[in-house]
Amino acid sequence: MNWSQYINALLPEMVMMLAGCMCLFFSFAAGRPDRPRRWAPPFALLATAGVLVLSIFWRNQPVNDPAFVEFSGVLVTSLSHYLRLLTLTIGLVLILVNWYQGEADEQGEYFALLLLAMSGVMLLSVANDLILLFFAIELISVPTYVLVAISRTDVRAQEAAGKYFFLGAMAAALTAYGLSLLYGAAGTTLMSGDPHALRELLATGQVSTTPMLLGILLVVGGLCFKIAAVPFHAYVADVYQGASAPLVGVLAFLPKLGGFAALVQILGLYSWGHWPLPLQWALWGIAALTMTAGNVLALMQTSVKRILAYSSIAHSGYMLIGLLVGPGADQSAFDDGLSAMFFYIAVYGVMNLGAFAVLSALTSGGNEPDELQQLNGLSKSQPALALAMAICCFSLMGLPPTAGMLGKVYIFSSAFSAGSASGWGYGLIVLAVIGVLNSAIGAAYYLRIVGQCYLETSSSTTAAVAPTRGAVRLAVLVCACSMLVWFVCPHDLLREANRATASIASPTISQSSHTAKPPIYNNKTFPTQ
Amino acid sequence: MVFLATGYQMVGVLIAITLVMVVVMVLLNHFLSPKRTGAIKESTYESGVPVVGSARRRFNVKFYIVAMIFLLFDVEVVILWPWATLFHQATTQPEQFSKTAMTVQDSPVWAMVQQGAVGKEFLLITLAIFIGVLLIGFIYEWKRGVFRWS
Repeated sequence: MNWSQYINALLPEMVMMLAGCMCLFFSFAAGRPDRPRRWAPPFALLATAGVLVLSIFWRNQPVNDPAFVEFSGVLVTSLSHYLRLLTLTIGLVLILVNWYQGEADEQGEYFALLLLAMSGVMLLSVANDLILLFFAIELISVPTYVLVAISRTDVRAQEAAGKYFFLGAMAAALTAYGLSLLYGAAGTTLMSGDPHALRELLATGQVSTTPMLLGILLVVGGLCFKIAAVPFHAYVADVYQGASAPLVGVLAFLPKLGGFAALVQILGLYSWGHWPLPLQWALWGIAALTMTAGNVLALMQTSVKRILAYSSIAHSGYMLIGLLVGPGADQSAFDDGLSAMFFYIAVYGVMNLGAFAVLSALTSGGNEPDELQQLNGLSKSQPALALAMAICCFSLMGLPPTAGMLGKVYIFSSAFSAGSASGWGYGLIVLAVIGVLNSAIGAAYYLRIVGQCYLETSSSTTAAVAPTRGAVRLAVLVCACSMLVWFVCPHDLLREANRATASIASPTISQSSHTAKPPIYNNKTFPTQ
Repeated sequence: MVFLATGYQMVGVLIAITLVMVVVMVLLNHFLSPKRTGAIKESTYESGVPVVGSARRRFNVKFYIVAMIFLLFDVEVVILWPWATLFHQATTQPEQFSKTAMTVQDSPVWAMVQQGAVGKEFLLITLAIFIGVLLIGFIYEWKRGVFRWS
């Protein structure tokens, strides 16, 4: 190991953060008010594309030297590569959707915060230390609080930002408390990859079990806020309605991806499939309640943004099924719950972003459309946007020929095939049945959106297309097309997701030969059963 | 029950003692204290000059920004201080420095010290990154006109 290797491991994250810092300065080159110069979005797009290329080159250089893992708390696995590429690829579309957001002299800050939130997800993907993990989660969260506040000059955006901040602070406190309990239980903040790391200590029974379980439950609670799962789902509808539609695409993807990645890392401290019963059934209950609450509450809404907000809660529930199934025995597409989940979150990110991108491309009296009536007869006035909305809604619903259907098939089939084999009894199968029933409930409100676009006649309140929104329309095209393309050929994405979870099923350096360091806590005994 | 604690009974005892103490203190006070009251005794204790108005009024937002920036640079100095001490040792007595670093066995730096990778160069580069990030923030604040008080 030398200096260049230490820097290499984190180079994509470093470049991304540097780009975020530099982006701040575009606010000062904003030009005159009558002739604004909007340079921040192209810069952010270029930077993200550059880091994406860098990450593609970097994926074949895993830095898994034990000394490095110990030094930095950074572990680059195949999952990290997948999360980096996913964040950056969808990040490109996120930047396109947000292209026209913010005043010219605030765009620098807007895109700086967006890039920093993305680098937070990337940092989370390589975090192997509880402190770094917490820092990365906050790096995703804090920029999004500010983004909600500056996304619209509207009192509802201020209210949304306030709610989001205070509830987010509570979730962060829960997470931090849980992490401190984990540290108290094991005496180390290193998570894996070393004989004295949390996972290895836990596997050899050297960790006090009760604080460990309590800590993990608290962390899971805090992360439930990030993924918008019951019982921490209440903020979602208000925040999504208050923030501007392009930003909601960000809010529904980045924190959720980060939350699921962190859940995989935290729950991976136990060996998969051998969780303590309280944890197992707590997650089971969260998944079942999240699906049901999201879908039932969405039925009662009349605002498109609130419908999509509750639908994003329901989708978290579906993804939690994959998390509960865990890595499959033989890594095939139909029994590996984790790769099904990582496949689903990619599809979900794009289809949800597509729906919000359609809303961003429309305008209704100077504002983006919010009420269902404002979409009346959109198929007549804006056939292309209505078709894109329909494709995204069908995908969210899980109908062919869209990728959303494949995502649901992989998730549910993994639960069915694991259900009878594992120690769950029929728990997973019951959960999958609840999921299938919920998909049917969900069809009702997605079809309402499509029905407003296609079956109603347009009126004076129908939203018109917003002028000069080329980048947003390009993003709509990308999202709708990728839903169809991924349905026809999902193999590449699925292979990537499979490869990502390979390191979870068989950790690469958990059996480390690095034994030069004497055991730190060998003189202590922990009360264990 | 796999998740029931053993070895944490003492924590429970501590919590119980604390609760009992609180209740006993309050009750003793209630029963034993003399009850002689008067207008002066009933009034709230205050000291200092008489107040001129409510403290709950709006302040100019500039005060908050200056306070935040002060905090930033204050914390920066707090981090610089131990760094400077270590850097002095690393430059003048490198052997002593590696010994000091080696004694911190659960420090992640330990593995790097073993390989001789931690020295004055390491300290210098990490500090340069730290100051660099702060510098970017400083330039941003400057250009945003935070320091212009008008």
